[in-house]
Amino acid sequence: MFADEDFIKASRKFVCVRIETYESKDSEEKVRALLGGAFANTAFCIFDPEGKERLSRAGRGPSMVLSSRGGRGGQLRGDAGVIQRMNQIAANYKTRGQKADAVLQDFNSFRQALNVASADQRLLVFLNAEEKKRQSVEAELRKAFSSTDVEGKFHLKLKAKGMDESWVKVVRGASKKPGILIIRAGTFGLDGEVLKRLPLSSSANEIKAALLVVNESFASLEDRKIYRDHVTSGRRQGIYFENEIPYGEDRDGDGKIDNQRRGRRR
Amino acid sequence: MKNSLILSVCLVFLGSACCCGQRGNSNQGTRSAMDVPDNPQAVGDAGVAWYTTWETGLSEARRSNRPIFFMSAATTCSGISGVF
Repeated sequence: MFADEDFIKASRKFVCVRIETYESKDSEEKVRALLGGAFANTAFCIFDPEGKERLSRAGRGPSMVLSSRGGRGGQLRGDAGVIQRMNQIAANYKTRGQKADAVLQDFNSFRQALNVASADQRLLVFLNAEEKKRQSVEAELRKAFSSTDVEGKFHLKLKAKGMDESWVKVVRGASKKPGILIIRAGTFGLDGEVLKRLPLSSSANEIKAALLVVNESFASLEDRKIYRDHVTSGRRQGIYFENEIPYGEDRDGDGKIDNQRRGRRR
Repeated sequence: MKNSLILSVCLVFLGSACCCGQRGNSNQGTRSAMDVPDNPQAVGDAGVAWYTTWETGLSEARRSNRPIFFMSAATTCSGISGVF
């Protein structure tokens, strides 16, 4: 459904937030709050713009929550019902402000940024500049990322205050030199490669042009992952991505992960 | 030798089949890796424009007065990264 053109169009009327379930205690608490104390690897809800009022039920995913089971009252069923409901909710809100002033995307860590970019198979743009020096760069990035040609094609990580330089070790072709880096994440999101580096003085048009050229090249190089093969390959290679929260689910909400197999790592 | 090979194959299979992240339009809770549909979208095409922290998303929602489509999802399957 997330790849459906109509769904993507409807999603633009929302601010779409997707956090990593196992990244932190904070993520776990958000999931438990939505699922009545239980913990699962996915959770979903629509909130008002203040992030307080729930505009939908909470559940494991949008299909569970938004689609109509009976198709009553003119409500469509399945994915079409989800999109219809999204459009109905969004119609109650009048968007304000300019797209070019939108808050920039960011991640809690570079490590997670690489992982998510790999999982989505999108290029990761990394702004490697100290906070005090990047105000003007961010303004140009906002303009570039608000373009409909760019929107939804990339992920963006801003260098955090006090962020260590260990990222350089896992990204081929990287250096500590400030710049805007366009990075291709590795298959398992544990490493990456710089495909292009832009100076901090780049204009929005220059950034956008570079992003689109590199994205086209990336698209021609990268095959869409086959989920089953990826998991099998990762297991064979002994891939394991440590998160703060142990993997698994707590469906009965007793605060403990259910049915963890013996001898499992972690 | 033969037994250990069979055991290895079984472990790979069982590992792949354990619970992983819900994707697409599933409303069945957790699913096995064998059942998860692959992303039909071409690499490089525009998809959902995700904010990846609650704080940045909330700031943008307040600024633009747009409702928040919130998801929590796992970018791993049994600890194997690089996949939703």
